[in-house]
Amino acid sequence: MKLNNEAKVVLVVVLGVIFLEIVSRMFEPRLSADVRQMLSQKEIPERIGKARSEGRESVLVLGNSLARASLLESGIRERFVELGRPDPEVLYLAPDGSDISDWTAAYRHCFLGRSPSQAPDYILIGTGQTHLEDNPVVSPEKLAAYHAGREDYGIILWSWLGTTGERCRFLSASVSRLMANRERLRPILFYNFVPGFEEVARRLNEAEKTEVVPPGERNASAGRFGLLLDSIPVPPERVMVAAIPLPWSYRLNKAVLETAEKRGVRVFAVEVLREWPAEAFPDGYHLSAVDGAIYTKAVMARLLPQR
Amino acid sequence: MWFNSFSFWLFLAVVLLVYHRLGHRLQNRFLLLASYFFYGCWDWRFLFLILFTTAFEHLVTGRIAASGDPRARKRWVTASLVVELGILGLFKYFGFFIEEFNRILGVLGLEHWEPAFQLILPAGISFYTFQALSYTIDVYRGRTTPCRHFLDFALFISFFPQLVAGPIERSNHLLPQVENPRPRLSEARFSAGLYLVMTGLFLKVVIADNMAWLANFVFDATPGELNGAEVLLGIYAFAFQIYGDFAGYSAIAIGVSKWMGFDLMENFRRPYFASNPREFWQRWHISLSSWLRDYLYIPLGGNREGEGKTRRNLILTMVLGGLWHGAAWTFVVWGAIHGVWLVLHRIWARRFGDAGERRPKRRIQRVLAVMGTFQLVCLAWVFFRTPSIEQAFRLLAALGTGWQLTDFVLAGASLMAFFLGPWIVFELWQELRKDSQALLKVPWPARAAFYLYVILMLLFFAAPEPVEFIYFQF
Repeated sequence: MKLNNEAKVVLVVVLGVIFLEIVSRMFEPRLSADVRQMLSQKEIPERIGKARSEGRESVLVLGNSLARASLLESGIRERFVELGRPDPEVLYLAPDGSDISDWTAAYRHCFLGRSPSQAPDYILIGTGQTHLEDNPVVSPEKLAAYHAGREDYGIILWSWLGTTGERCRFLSASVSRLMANRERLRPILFYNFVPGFEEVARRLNEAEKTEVVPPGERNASAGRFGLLLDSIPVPPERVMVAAIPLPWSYRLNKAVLETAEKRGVRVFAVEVLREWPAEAFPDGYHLSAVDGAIYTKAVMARLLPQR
Repeated sequence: MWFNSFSFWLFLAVVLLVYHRLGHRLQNRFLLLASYFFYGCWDWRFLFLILFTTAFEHLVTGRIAASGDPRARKRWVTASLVVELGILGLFKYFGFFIEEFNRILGVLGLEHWEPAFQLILPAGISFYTFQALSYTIDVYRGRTTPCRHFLDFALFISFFPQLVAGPIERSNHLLPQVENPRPRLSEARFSAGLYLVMTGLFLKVVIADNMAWLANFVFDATPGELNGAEVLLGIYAFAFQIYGDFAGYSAIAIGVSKWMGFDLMENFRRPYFASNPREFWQRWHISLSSWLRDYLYIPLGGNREGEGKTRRNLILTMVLGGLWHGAAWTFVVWGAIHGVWLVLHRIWARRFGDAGERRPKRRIQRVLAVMGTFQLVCLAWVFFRTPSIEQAFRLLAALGTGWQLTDFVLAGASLMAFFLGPWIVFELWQELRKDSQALLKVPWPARAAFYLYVILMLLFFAAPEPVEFIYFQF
């Protein structure tokens, strides 16, 4: 068969893209710590199963970077030791910039259809002000490539994603790592090689920053949070929602609180603890290590009270 | 359904699959249906407006063609102008007139008048109204025979690739393509379409949207917070944003049409390589500038009635052209700047001999002229982009304050070099070859490499937030 020139052009372009897809799959773990963390999610049930076989309990932390900075592994372990229990297996399912859509999909992908022996003993869900609400999916690409299982494609495509564009991004990222990680190259290149880019990005983002909606005025639903809780086989008293301190005071959405209450899940609300000074947030968003330890201690005291 | 959205490409894939399996008459019916669906995705209510324009112009042109009485013909064409411009004026300029009316009331110390209703601007109304008007005027002038089939005419008005942002087609160019069977999809057509679609997407997604990020920051800031270098960078960024945005849309529209056997007119020809304002308008939004020339400048008298009236006609045409873009004084000023500039150029050309323009310039002269023209085009863009004339002057004044190389300047200039550099080199290569389709004549591996670069840029360097096409609002 003799190809005409334009067919050759298209063929070379397609082969070029396939080559890059292969390369991106080969080097995927090197892209960032976040990618490595997401790729390791599938090992969580095995690690829990292994810990259980060794007579140790396990704690799964669901959340994002807020949870990683505020629910510290050392603090969680410390509480178990204080209570004279074996050193637990602490696992994080907390990718950067994720929210309830990612956590629900990832949890279900990891644990649905697994043996009960691979389910965690305790679950901590670390959330900011709006992370448990049914907001538009932050990154359909990440959700498809790293979190969602095929069994949830239906609900994600028809309920969670709002536009044809988002659905296309989701489906293409489910088969292509190039598509899934397409937004990673830009910051890597610009932050490292464009002089002054960090400052410019900060100024531009500041100019575009939307105002925080005052508490009580939000009207979002919490269906995905409900689906997550319904998917957890752990008794509700072993599950806790921890509202992570932020530089501003807030209350969780009413729908979120009702969803938790309906299923008997406790909510550790930030306003019951104390006011957090500005110095507690060295980068303006995440708790410092010291304050994170204080917060972890308080949360664990509620999750595992002294008998 | 934007051209830079997945939805559009899914829609197009379905349209192309069905379209190429149909015969000519069915193709037209199907394209009409697809065009109305495409437009209805924005706001189905305005489909009635397009339908009204189509039916009314079909009726008027039928009467004009049937009447042998010049006075009756004139009455019909006048009716068409009044109705179409009336609709355009109502939707596009109503708010502007109310605002100005209230300003006068305010000066007189009277209470503001709040109209009981607000009008939304229908997408693309300026484009399809001008296209419909040009058809009616051409029928009146006897340059076009009226379209006999209503559905063919409806497709001419609503053909989806160019419906909302042009190119504004002429009846004697597009209508015969609607009425007669079109060529099948050949290798050459596919190749030309692919080239236009790829470059169009690159212009929009990579250049325009990334430049918007920088331009918006400068144009939305308080001028006092910026130094001269930052303002200049923002103005340059906007110049390339609007170019990428509009030329990108046009290229995609023309490319997609090629795949369906249509040849739309070229709308942009490397405008920032123009060496004077006249040349700029022969390269920028060619379908509008030639429309204004044929249906406004020449009927006003063109250059046939002496130098004074020629200058008046030039300025008037450009001011009205500015107003076509939007109902604001800033567009009037933008048009006026171009009008005055065209007049000054005309004076210059006459003073130093009209032949001077045609004489091949030395390369250095040409480079300086291109750079100078670009600066003046950018100066006018300031008025086009700012929300008020005062803001435009404040920004221009800020150009004279401080020229430190701030982080914004360093990063912005680097980003511009990264995004624009390869494209400018590509356009320069086209310019030197005097061929907009030069890439189609190089060996295929070079073209494949170019497309691969475009795809990678689209994939990895699309702006974080897609931006709506600027010209949709016109």
